[in-house]
Amino acid sequence: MKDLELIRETLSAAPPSARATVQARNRLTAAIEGRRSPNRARRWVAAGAGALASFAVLAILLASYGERPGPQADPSEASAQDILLAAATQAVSRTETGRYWRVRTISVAGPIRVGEAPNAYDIVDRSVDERWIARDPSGTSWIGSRDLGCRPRSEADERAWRAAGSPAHWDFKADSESGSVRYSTAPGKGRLERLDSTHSDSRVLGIRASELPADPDELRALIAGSIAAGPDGFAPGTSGSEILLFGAMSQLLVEVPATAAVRAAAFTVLAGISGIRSTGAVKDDEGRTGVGIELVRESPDYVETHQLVVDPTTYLIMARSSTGIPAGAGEKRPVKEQRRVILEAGWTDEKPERPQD
Amino acid sequence: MLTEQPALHPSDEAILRESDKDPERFAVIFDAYHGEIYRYVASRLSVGHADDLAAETFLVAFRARRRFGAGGGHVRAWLYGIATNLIRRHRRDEERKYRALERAETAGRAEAGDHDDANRIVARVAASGVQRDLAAALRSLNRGDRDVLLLVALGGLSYPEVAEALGIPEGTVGSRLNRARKTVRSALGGADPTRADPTRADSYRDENRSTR
Repeated sequence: MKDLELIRETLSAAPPSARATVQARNRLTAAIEGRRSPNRARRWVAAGAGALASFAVLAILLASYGERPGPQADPSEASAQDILLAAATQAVSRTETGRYWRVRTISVAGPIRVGEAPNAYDIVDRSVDERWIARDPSGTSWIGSRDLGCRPRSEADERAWRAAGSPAHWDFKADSESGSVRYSTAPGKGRLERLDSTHSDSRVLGIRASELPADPDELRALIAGSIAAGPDGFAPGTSGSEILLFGAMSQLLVEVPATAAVRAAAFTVLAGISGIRSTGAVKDDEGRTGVGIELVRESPDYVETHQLVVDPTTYLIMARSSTGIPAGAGEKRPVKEQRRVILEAGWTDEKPERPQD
Repeated sequence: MLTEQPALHPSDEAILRESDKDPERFAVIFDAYHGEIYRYVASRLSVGHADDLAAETFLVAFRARRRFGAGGGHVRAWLYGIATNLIRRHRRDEERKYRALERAETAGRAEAGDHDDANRIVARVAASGVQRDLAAALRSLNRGDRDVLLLVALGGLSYPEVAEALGIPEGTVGSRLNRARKTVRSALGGADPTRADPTRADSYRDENRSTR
């Protein structure tokens, strides 16, 4: 039996994280509660299912938008292209000194359905993540994090939470070692860890920050090529490729220590993505106002929305989010949601330290 | 005692039948098996795939629950069958993962990237020649043989369970498993000169370049 053991040893993966378990259970709960029409449900089964197998895999209809109005005085009224091209112009002149590219974000993940129907409500799990990516590729990079605890997702959820006696934690049964996972409102301790040099933080789709071209056409071609060679194999120019390109450029702008010229190119690439549009003034999760830039993808079962919030005066990225909502009328509660608010992103000489209260 | 056990611990199959009238009961099935189905998918593909496909497995099962069990099958085997069907749609990703394992030794270190989960595994197993040979063997197997082998090796399914999961006769399970294990053993046993061919050590970046 040695061969079978060896296969197990070589391939064996870790059990799901608490978050993966809860999100999977959420999707099942949504199905159990019959949020999808019977018609749709039958179609899923008939198709051997897998519609949501990967958000990126499906045949996709990219929502098409009409022509946007031209440049206007108020940035919140301007087109997505104008905002992004203005951001590109600004990006070129940004300061480039500092030992670390430092990014401080608040991540919000969920929703997690808790409580008993009909008084169930949604909570979200929040954490602070802080990265110091060394400019010198041989230098040490650091990652800091701190759990901020869970809180109700919306005002309506908050009312339901209070009505339920404001519980401070929620336990879920799970196929884990302890048999359950606990979500709590209590914040955790700050941690600071070394990032190993092979970590993907300074890369976009496997490409090192230092290898990213500053020419928008070359940047687009390089990333689109990388997407085409990736697991989904989307050909350049397809809507699947455009969605991943949007994600890659968002990541580049926020998380990667790229040069000012490369960041400017990334904004120009974003401006050229078809279907991109401005949603006008929006508030991020910290209540700050910016301009929303959005790309929507519709599949028969889900509507995915990817959004960036851009600061209308500095043209820095304030927030990123991705949300998947069941298609059709009725339930508009997201099945999957990932939001990040960027508190800081820029070069610094400050010394890395763990996130404080 | 024995007669009381079903009442204390209803079988998966009984729970599934109850879930026909009381859909909430299906959550018990999820709680019992999501973890192992997740590990099975993550082992064959990646954690990223498992996030979606493990959840998907239970959605498919939930929607098809009324059609299950006419022939007295087992819920666990049925779930592995659904997961295997979903994995088949990602055959290219699975083969990419084995390729990543094959080149681990020459690569020297993991090439990290957004959809490069396989590489974390590469780093962990420290890529001995044995693992490289094994990955090459797994990649060379045809789909049907590989499904049988991995259901046995990763899921720990018995012959009848694999037969049930894949909807094939038990005899076919036996012959496929024999063939697959023979391939794996011979790959592990002897030196294969063709394996040293440097053109096989294609990397993600190389593929990337060739598409431009």
